[in-house]
This record gives sequence, structure tokens and C-alpha cells, in this order.
Amino acid sequence: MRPLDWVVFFAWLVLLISYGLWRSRGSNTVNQFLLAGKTMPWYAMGLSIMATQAGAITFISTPGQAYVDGMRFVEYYFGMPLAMVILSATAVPIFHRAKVYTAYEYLEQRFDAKTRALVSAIFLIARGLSAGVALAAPAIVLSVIFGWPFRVTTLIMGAVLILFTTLGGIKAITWADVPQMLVILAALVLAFILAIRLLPADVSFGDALRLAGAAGKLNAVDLHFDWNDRYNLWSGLIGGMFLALAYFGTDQSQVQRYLTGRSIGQSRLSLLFNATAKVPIQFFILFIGAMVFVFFLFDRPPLLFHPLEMKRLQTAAFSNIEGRYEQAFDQRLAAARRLKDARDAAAQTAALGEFQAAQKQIELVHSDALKIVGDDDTNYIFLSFVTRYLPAGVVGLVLAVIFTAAMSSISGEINSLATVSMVDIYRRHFHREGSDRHYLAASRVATVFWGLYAVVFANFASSFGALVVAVNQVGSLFYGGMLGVFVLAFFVKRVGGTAAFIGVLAGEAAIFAAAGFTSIAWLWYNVIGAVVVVATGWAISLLSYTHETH
Amino acid sequence: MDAEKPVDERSEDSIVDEPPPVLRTWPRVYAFVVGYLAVLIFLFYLFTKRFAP
Repeated sequence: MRPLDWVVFFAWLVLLISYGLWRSRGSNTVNQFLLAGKTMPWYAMGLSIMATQAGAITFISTPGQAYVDGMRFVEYYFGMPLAMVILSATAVPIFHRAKVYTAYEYLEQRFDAKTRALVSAIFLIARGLSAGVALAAPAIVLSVIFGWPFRVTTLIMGAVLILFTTLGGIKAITWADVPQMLVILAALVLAFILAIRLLPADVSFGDALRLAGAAGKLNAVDLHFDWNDRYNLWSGLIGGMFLALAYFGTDQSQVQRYLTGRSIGQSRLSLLFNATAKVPIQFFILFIGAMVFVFFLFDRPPLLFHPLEMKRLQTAAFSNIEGRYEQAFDQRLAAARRLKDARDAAAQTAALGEFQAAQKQIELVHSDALKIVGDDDTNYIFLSFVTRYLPAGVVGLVLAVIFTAAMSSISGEINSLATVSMVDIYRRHFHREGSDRHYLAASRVATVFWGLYAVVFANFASSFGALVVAVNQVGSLFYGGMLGVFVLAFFVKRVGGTAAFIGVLAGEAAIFAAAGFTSIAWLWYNVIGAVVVVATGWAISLLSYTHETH
Repeated sequence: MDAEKPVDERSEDSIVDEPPPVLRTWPRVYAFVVGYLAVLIFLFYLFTKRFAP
């Protein structure tokens, strides 16, 4: 980082935090601290939901995913608009009319206290685990970029986000997300323009598309159905819809965002805004990754994008593998140029075969290098491009945005963890007759607790590979059970508390069995869990009804 | 705050279910979102086919 980058980095950090805290002034009641006094407009909630979900993990990992695996990851988001429509028609009006702080509070109104306690506990475990991962992801990357020890980076980020969330509450988080998300989008557009402009003069945008396509990077839709394949149209539409239903309909970190809406309509609009904007934005981010891939066809990238692992490699079997890499890169560069210049069909077919063989060879060398260092470098691909090729000031802004995006995501998570801890556990089971001031203090103490927990857990989560996948996998172990119980609550009138409670336990058992004993892709865990909960709950209620009538 | 007191005693504003702008009814907005998704997927499919190796 150059001096201008540091100036921009700290200026953005101070500006954003100050803006969030200024907008949150007067948050001195529980209702203000946890639900922003139910005053938020749709665009603030919508951008906040987007920023929380996008976060630093998506910013770091998604372009790298397209570089490595192509654009098929976009299919993962296909089910989300369908889920948003379902939630706008069901969960949003139900939660608003129930006048609750948390989604789980509604479960006691509908079922009983034990079902509420069970689902609250599942949420605290699932979200608690992912809060650590969500903090570790940007902390690892920023520690490498800044050259700071990982623990120091985690502690600095943790301290800033704990202070920000404890002082400002949900209002500060939501309002800070508005400029945050707009700057993320602006930074992405800038990175895209530069990736295209930095291509050699004789390589047009059309050539770039043809080369990315030839390497299989523009594979946005795959119609082939396979249970074990993570990303295809069907797993995206069905599995993605169930995951989005669970995430936006039952995860308090999201439900709390739209509960801050000043009306049912404003909350609905915030979800439907995401339903229309999210898929094209993800497509665009992945497309940037594909264009960065084309850029690196002509400008030799490092053998490994992870700078520290690259240094480790240099002290090991470097000379041999570096020689292989240089040869493979030169062959691919020559093949790419021939493919670009090929005009007739026969020359194109020959050049395509040559290019694909060269691409396979370079992937093999890269994979051998990764085996030597024993780590993945997907999360460093886009940052390597940003830090090496973007102008001074912009690098600082991008890194600052990653820092504050991480802060935004984790602030939302620890705020929701604190809300459930205070409302569903402490107030419900330990201290039922406190004053508003007492519960506000309890909310702040819980915020500090969960912030510290995330910092400690981040140190254990640092060995995960592609972190975006890790976060969703952790969620998928628990979301199916949570989704199932809300489906029972909303749609199956005859099911009572005990049937729902047993249903959740059965659903979770089924998910862990699927994860432990089958190779079914994790996107399907939500479907399995939800179906088992609904089937079990419905069957038990049917049996007890039959028993009672006899 | 009493135990389990509802969150919003301030007013009934938050449970007002007003119609959406432009399309006037929520079912029309939902239909628009689903149709928009179908068009997007179709365009992405054409994009994939056009640049497939």
C-alpha cells in the first residue's frame, strides 16, 4: 500500500463509522437499539440486506471463483428471487403483525416455549459458528496484504466492530450499509473497466469473451441435473430457493433487517429489491473474474496468488515447478493469440484444441504447486489483480471497503446473536420483569460477548479453504431444520408444539446423516431438513389426532 | 419493559399493508419478479451457449 492508499483507507473507515453512529443517535431504548424504532425505509433495508449478504467474503472470493471454476456459481442465486416472493407474501406480514423482536418469539406464539428455545439455540450455534468464519475470511486476506500478523488483524477488526455495534445498534449498521454497498458497486465497476482497459491493444472485448468462453469460464447455466453437483440450474433453483427461504425467512440476522421497516410494504420492497438486483450483480462480479482470467492470459500472473505461500514455495521445489510454469504459460499465451487470430472454422477448431490443452497444462502445474504448499489461493486472485494493477488511492479504497464490508456483515450477525440471547433466552427464561434500561444494557453486554466470541472463534476458522463455501456449508447444516418449523408454523394449522419440536430434532438428524454418510451436495441439505421436519411434524400431529378421536 | 411485551406499542403504522408503487397490487409485483427471473435465466442460457467452447 502506498501512502495515498493508507490515507484513503483510514478516511473511509472514519467517515463510514461516523456516519453510522450519527444516524443512530437517540438509540436509547431496546426498540431503537434492536429494531431502529421500526422507522427504516425500503432502500436502506434493501441495501443493508445486500451488503450483509455480499460482505467481504463475496467481494474477495466470488471473482476468484469465476477465475478458477467459471461463472456457474451464479446459479446458486437463481432460487433467491422465488424465495423473496414467498417471504414477502408470508413471513413479512406475519412477523410484522406478531410485533416481535425475533422470528423465534413468533414460534412461542404459534407453538410453545420449548420449540422457541430449541430453534433459538440452533440459531445461536449456527450463526455463532459462521460469525467466526465471516471474521476470519477478511482478516486472513487483509493480514496477508498488510503484512500484519493474523491475530493482530482479527483483534483490530473485532475491536472496531464491537465498539461500533455496541454504541450504534441496528440503526448504525443499516445506515452505514447504504454508502457501503454503493461504494462496493462503484469499486467493482471500476475494477471491471480497468480489467478491460489493461488488455493488450490488439485484444478487443469480443476477443476477451471468446477466450473466456473457450476456457469454459462463461458457463453461467448448466441444465444437466446431478445430485452431487453443487452448481447447476436445478440445484440453484430448488436448493438455492430453500437456502434463501431459510436464510431470509428464519435467520434472525436477516429477519431483523426487515423487521426495522416502517411498514409491511417497505419491508416487502426491501426484499423484492434484492430479488431483482442480486442475480445480475452476482453475474457481473463473476464476469469480472472471467475478465481478470483473460487479462492474466496475456500478463503472467504469479504461480500462486497467495503471497506468503508463494514465498514458501520459493524455498521448496521452486526452480523445477517455476520452470514448468513458465513453459506452460508461454504455450498458453501463444495458443491464446492463435485462437484470437484464427478466422476460418478449421483454424479455429485447431487453435481451440491447442488452447484448451495449454490451459489444462497450466492448471496441472498450479495444482501441483498448491499440493506443495497445501493451501488454496482462490481468495487472493482478485486482490492480487487489485493491488498490482489498480491506481494509488483506489487500492486503499478497495481494501477499506473489504474491511468495512466485513465489519458490516459481522456487526449484523453479532447484533442478531445479541438480540436472540437477550430476547429469547435472557428475558424469556432468566429475568422476565426488567426495565427497558436494564434490557438495553443486557443487549449491549450480549453484543460485546458475541463480538469477543467471534474474535476467538475466527482463530480456529482460519484453516478453511474457499471461505464463501464454508460459511454456507455451516449454515446448511442447520437451516433446513429451522425452515421446516416455520413452514409448519405458517401453513400446517393442526400441528402443535410437541410435534414441531420432535420434527426439528428429526430434521437435524436427517441433515447430519446426509452430511456424514452421503455425497449429496450441501445445497440439498436445506431441502432434506425442511421436508423431514414437515413430514415428521405432520405425521405426529396426525397420529395424535387419530389417537384422541379413538 | 414488561416481560414479553410486544415490540411496537407506538402505533399501528408498522402493520399497515399499503399497496406497492407502479404495479398497484402485490400479486402483480410478485408475477413481475418471477417473469424477470425467467427472462434473466434465459438470457444467461443464451450467453452460455453463445460462448461455449
